[in-house]
Amino acid sequence: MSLRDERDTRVEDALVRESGDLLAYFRRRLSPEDAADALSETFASAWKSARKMPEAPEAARMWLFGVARNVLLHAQCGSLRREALSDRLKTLAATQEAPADAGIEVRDALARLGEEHAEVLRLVHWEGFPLVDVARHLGISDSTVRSRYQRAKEALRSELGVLQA
Amino acid sequence: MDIDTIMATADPAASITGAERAEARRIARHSRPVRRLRGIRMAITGGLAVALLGGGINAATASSGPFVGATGSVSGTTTGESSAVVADVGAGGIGTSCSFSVIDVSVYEEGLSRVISVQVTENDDAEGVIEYSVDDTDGAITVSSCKALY
Repeated sequence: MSLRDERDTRVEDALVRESGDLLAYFRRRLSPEDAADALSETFASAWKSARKMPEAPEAARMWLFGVARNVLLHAQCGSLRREALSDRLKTLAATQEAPADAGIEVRDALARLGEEHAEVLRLVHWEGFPLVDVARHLGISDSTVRSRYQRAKEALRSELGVLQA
Repeated sequence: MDIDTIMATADPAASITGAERAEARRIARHSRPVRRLRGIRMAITGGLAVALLGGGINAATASSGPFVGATGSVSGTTTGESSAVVADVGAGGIGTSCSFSVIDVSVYEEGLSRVISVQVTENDDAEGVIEYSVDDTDGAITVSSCKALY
């Protein structure tokens, strides 16, 4: 097997391995339809930059989430491509019954926190990132993330306290 | 209630089904570009470019670079790892003969179509890109651009 084949196999393995978590990442931040397109676009972007993917699985995972973040930033500019590959995923999401939404108050509270604080909470508690990886993902220092996380938790509790009063 | 529990109750991804995760894995597997073809040489004589393989054939005219006005065509199949794509860049517009080697072919998703990007080179100092899309519903091939570049 050539070096290129080995690299391609490693990239494909990483994409398959992380596909569920990447889908979850986008579903937490976009509509189900846009999440499906964003996932597909993330895979396409990852292949275009395949040479840059680190070999170690955990580093490759963080690299893929970095690609996903860039796709998300483009998506929020309204420039997502419509991906044929993701059509079936969109259909699956659309045919789901809407779940009883017990978390809407919390999501509303998150939305009021401001994006910087909300994103740290999402990355820690939904994506399961350690704070050091949150810092790397967002391109900020460890100490900034630690203090931002503390403030975000306090702000969320405060917001929910206001709601429950 | 601790923050972990609070956030867990609000996770939009909690509703993702097993079928959706399986579909995400399928998309990941199918996102792999078709392997490159290297070193395929083809002779181009002035005038109309000739497709070397059967199958869908389409043509476009170079819109930039030193071969403005030249005709390009693409043919071949695009299924699976064994895909074969041959790109011809003719020199009809400038009346010369030349030959190119395909040095790289990659396939990726673009909207509702697959785009095949073909890089060719002539004597290491010219490079061209032909892009065409394959309609997923009827397999029709449409050349969207044909550019020869230095």
